[in-house]
Amino acid sequence: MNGMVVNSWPYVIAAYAATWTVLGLYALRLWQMNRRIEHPGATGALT
Amino acid sequence: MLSLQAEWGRVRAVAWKDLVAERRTKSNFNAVVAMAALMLLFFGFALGPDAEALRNAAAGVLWLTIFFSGVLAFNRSYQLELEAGALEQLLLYPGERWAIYLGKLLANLAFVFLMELITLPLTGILYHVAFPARWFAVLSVLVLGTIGFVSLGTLYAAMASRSRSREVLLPLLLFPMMVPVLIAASGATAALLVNDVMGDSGAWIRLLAAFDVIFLIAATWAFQFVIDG
Amino acid sequence: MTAIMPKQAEQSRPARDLASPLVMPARWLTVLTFAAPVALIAAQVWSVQASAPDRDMGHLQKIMYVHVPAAWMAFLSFFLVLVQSVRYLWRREERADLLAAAAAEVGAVFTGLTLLLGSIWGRPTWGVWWTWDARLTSTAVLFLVFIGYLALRGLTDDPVRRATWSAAVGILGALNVPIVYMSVKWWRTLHQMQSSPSTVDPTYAWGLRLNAIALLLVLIVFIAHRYRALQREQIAERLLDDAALLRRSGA
Repeated sequence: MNGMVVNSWPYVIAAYAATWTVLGLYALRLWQMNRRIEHPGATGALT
Repeated sequence: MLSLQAEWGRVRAVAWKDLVAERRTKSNFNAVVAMAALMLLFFGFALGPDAEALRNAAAGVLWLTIFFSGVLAFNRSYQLELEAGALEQLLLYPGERWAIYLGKLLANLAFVFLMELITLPLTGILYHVAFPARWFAVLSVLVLGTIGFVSLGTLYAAMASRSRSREVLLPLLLFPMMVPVLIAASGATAALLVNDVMGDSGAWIRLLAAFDVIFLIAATWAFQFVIDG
Repeated sequence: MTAIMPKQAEQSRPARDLASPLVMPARWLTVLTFAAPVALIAAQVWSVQASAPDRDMGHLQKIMYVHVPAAWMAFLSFFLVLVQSVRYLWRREERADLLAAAAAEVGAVFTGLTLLLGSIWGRPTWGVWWTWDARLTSTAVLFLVFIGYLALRGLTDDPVRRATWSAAVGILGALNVPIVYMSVKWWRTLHQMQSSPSTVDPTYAWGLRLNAIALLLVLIVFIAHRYRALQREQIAERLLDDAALLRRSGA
């Protein structure tokens, strides 16, 4: 196994940044999805 | 509820119908074999002319070639019926769905085995592989791997052939399922081609056998849902 | 005349089955939606500052606090897909199909995240962006199974066919996961590759647990919201179909 990296913090920060980015982007997608359904306005066929 | 004998009759009828239809045109078989030969050449070009490199890669290339060219055959086995609207007719007849599945499975197995009969010696020639002393074991691995491949391919093609983007959907669904077969079959073949001094092939063969049993049963069961849906 | 017709149409379909909140009442979901990220931040802050730098790995071990729980959530999602797929084929309940679909999409996200984090961890540890180790490789295969499942759903228009086919694919995929893991592991041991290091430090174990619980809350929130979106889409489609039918018969 490779030895210890001199400065491991960049990778740790990258990992946590990646986590929040991925989860945040998906949360955004879910929010947009549910918002679009609640306020359709597009077809107007239901009113 | 029809008897087992009647169901077996249906299996043979479906298999025979598929094989006869294939034999009449032969164009599909020829195209798939040509594709296999082309793949062997392509892999050869990609891996370089060095004999040692080719020999080491031979087992893996063989199985990749079988998978990539064989997958082209499965959708076709449903296509003929779909075009003629015969699939609904077939489903209207009384009888178990698994009989249809086994019939198609047998026909596809015959097709792929025949293709391998040509591909295997071609690989040996192009990739400088010496004729293996344990040729019977190599053939057994070929049979076991092919059964796993064709049993799942026949099932997934029942869905893919009736979907959009069927050419990409079938490999996309089938190949992740093939990972154990690819690892085990190419591992066993590679070991056996050099007479398997380490005795690795036994474990791989057992894995292949277990895989075949599990997924033959699973695919036969799943087919009834897939073909009617 | 038009006032009477919609009611008749409603009675002919079991739409009520879809409309009931399977996952949880709306208020619970709102609370959880805010609690989940808070819990995640808390768990991460605690575990990062509580763990001392490891002898061999330095601070890299802290990546495990996101990587390992993400992997657990990925496999948990897949298990949920399996259970709901079986339930759908057995009971033909539409809710089971929608829940399977929601779990599959969220599972794909967590699986992708697991792979990304595995790569980030592998680079400083082993000098490579990818290691063909058994767990990471099996996770990559699982990711592709998810993608195939979602692709099949995207390419199938008829809802019943889509539900039945996805259920079959989900069940067979789940059957294969342990087999894939075993084959990749054997494949690796034959070439005498090293396994990932582990540690028995209690702080580490607690850090993992807390992060796992927090991430589980996130998983539940994601699946609940995705399910509701699917649910509403289905209801909206039904209403549109009915409206189209009414227009054709009424006019």
